[in-house]
Amino acid sequence: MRVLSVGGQEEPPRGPAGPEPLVALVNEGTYPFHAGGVSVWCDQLIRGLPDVQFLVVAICLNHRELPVRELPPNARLVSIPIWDQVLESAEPRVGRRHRLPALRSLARLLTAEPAEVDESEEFLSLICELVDAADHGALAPALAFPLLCEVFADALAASPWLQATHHGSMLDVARLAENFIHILRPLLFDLGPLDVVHLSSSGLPSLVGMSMWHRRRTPLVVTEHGLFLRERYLDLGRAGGRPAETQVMLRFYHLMVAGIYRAASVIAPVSGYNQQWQERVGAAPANIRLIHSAVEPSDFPVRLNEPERPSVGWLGRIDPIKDLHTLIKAAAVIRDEVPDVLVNLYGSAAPAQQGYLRSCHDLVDSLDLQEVVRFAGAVPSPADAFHTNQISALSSISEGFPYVVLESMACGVPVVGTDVGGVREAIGDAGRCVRANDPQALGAACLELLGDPALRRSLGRVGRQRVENMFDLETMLATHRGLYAELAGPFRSISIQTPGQTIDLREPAADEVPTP
Amino acid sequence: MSIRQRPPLAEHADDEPFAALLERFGPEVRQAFDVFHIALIFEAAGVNDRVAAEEYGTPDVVRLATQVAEVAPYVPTVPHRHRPQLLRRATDAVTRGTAFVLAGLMSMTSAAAVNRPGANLVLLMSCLVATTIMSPLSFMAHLLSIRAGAGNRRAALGPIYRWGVLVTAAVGLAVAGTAGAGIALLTVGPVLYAQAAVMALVMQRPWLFALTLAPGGIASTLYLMPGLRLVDADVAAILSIAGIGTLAATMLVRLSSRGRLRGWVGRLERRAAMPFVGAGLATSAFIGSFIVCCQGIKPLESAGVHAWFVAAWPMFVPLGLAEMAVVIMRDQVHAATRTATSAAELAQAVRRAGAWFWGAFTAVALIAMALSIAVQPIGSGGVTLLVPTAFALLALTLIARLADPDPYDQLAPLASACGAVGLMVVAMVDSHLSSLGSAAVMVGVLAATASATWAVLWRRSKSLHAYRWSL
Repeated sequence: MRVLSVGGQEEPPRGPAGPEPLVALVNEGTYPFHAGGVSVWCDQLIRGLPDVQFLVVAICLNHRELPVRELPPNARLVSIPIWDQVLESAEPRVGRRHRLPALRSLARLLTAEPAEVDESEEFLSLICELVDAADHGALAPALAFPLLCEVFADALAASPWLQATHHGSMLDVARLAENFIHILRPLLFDLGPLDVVHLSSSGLPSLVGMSMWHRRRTPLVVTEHGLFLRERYLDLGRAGGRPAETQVMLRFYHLMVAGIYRAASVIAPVSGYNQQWQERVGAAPANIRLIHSAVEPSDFPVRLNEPERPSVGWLGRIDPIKDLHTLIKAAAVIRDEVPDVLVNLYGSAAPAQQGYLRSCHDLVDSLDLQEVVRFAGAVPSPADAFHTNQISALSSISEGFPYVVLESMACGVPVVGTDVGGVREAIGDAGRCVRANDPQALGAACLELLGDPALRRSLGRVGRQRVENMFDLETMLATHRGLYAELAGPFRSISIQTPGQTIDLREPAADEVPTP
Repeated sequence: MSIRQRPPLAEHADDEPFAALLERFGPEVRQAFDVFHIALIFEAAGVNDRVAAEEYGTPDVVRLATQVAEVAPYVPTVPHRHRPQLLRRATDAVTRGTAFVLAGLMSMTSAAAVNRPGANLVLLMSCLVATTIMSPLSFMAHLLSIRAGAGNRRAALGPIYRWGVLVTAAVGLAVAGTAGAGIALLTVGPVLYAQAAVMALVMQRPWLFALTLAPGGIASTLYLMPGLRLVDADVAAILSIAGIGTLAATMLVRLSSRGRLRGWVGRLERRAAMPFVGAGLATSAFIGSFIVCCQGIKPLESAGVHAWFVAAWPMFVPLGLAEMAVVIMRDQVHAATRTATSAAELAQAVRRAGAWFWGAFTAVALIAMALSIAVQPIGSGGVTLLVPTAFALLALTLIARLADPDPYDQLAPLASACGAVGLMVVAMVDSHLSSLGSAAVMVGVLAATASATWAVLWRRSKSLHAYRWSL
């Protein structure tokens, strides 16, 4: 195992003894390779805290992905391309000696019938064993297709429950083996000495966090924007995959999230809604500190002149989770009352969502809304999109604490949003919140605002004040600066119960306690 | 109680709103994996904590989900039953196999058309180059056709096209410089053909694939038809036009493609493709041995191309049947992965399917060989009888490529190497044996090659490698 070995292009970072805290900011599939809310948040954090050195650890698709954002001087990039295809013929020859008992135990845990007790402790212990194996060079060769097939085949054979209730078969074994070759790869990498590891999601960054927590006893902070576990349930449930494979993957994600909540020193949700779900999954309330996402109000000037034509703006990526079908149906409801309304959809669809985009176009055609709904594509500045519409709308079925709501409010444009995630918490009394998946309600709320200019102005003023008072970027940055300073000190002790003994995994050796 | 467990009792099972909720979400709830999943289904449909409290009297949506779960127990989705589209897949397989056969036929016809010294050398070179290039390119094509979505396939042609054109140009220039432009054209013809076929396969465009087959096929057929004898120059012209036509067609496809393929063929993939260069070389060695061994077969040569056609039965007949058998074998394995619950059970199914396939192939190949030998002119020498065996071995090589779960991985080079060695051995010992003895040795070579490839398949089934078939 190498320190910072990914791609071989990075030099090891300096140790935590330097004058500025060194924070690893770990994300998956976002900063700096893709745009989106998490990317905005990472950028805000790095640029807003120039006195902190950041090591941006990006779990990405493969080594050929190119950054879309330029990193500030206080940040360096390390990418972990977990989906790079490693083919059988390109792998070193593997044999029986490469079998890992911890992988076998992990597979058995994931395929067994869920128990009454909290299994996240056992999961965390197994991950720690895998990290130890990685340090001894034993994990990399064990993540080979034939060996993982063997591991999951044994686990399936030992789980009549999975066979009976989920029709588990060798096809599930093959698919699971293929998945785990990739998703366990973050455990292979040691980021070196750090003051804090800050995870921007409880997804695969958790594995980086767990490995650093065990390997170097680095304190962890977990910030969640969208709830990873929640989105996996929705994705896998919607995908209609094989039941046994889906069950095992959900179990893995569930235990991983519960495990990282257990290991983290601080869990920092961006909304009260997220906090509620984190507690349901097992996060200790004492470890949770709510830090709302924020925007810089000066970047979003208040709209001076409202457009004359009744118009509704939507901004985001075109994706089923944004439920544009409901918004398009709501547009039909609005059109029936306000024939000259214009609904502008700003944003583009990823290649994988081109089918969904087509379905949106088809729906527009079938409802005869070609003159009402306009697919305006991506816009360079969100403020421009908000300024050119009378109101904003958000029709998502799942959200964390959406930036578009904050940005729209900062521009003084009232928002009609669906009551999911932290949307109600963000909008407060500066707009309207309606039930998700309800075109009639969404349309009615939009009509209320479109028909009352005074109400729009009033709500716009309230929204701007709300952003300035509650979701101000400076406050968010100061909170994070304090958090890093606090965690960079000596570590708290966290113990893990394993069968037969209690292991204090976070108790640092005397010579390892950083000098204040 | 763990939140993941189904609760013991529902408090509101008889409430009207609760019944309506069940009515609305029943099917989805019964497919949900646990209480969390049910809660999230509700939330996505607008039933959040607030609605759960106001309309259903539960503290939050998770508690509501817990109650629903009790009255709507989990019913797993019945796995989709695999219904193989046998006819379509068999047609595809036969078409692919025919492409390889026609490539060889095209080369043979080219050589026959060139009535000048050195033609066989050119033929040999073109076969070697085409096969060596074809192997890694086809592997890349295999990767890309799996990974590239429908909208990304044209962009996937980029890497294949770059490499293909580069190598073709290099080979063409080298031959042109040493042997002349006409021979260079004949040399690059099969290479272009191979490249065009691969690109058509990546595109999954049957019409384009058919287009690449047509010129060579028509030229070869015309040349072989009794009573219709083209002069050599005509055939050479047809083949030249065919080569230029395939190049133009692929260029058009490539130039009309938009977008840049990012991240599909990286360093690891290129490294992984290297063994397939070896596979290509092994196959080339086999074809080369075949050509060298058949140099002095005067009886067949004097009997005309029809005798060659008869001699090639052991390739065409079993190839056609085995192509179908490959499809059936793969479908059997595919189905087995969906039902087998242990590695041993799956390995057994793989072996059963493999034994059926290789057994059928070997039997058909032997019968075709016997028929082919039987209709040869009385008094033909042993070396003449070598030809049907060589064709049978060529068929084995082609089929091994289709049968391997990782195409071109192990079976093809093994079959090629065995075949090449076998041919050489038979050619060397032939002068010391009677015709019957030669025939017996040839049958032995074929059986040994088939057994060796079967052994690889057997070993693979034990190492669970056959799972790759299902992915």
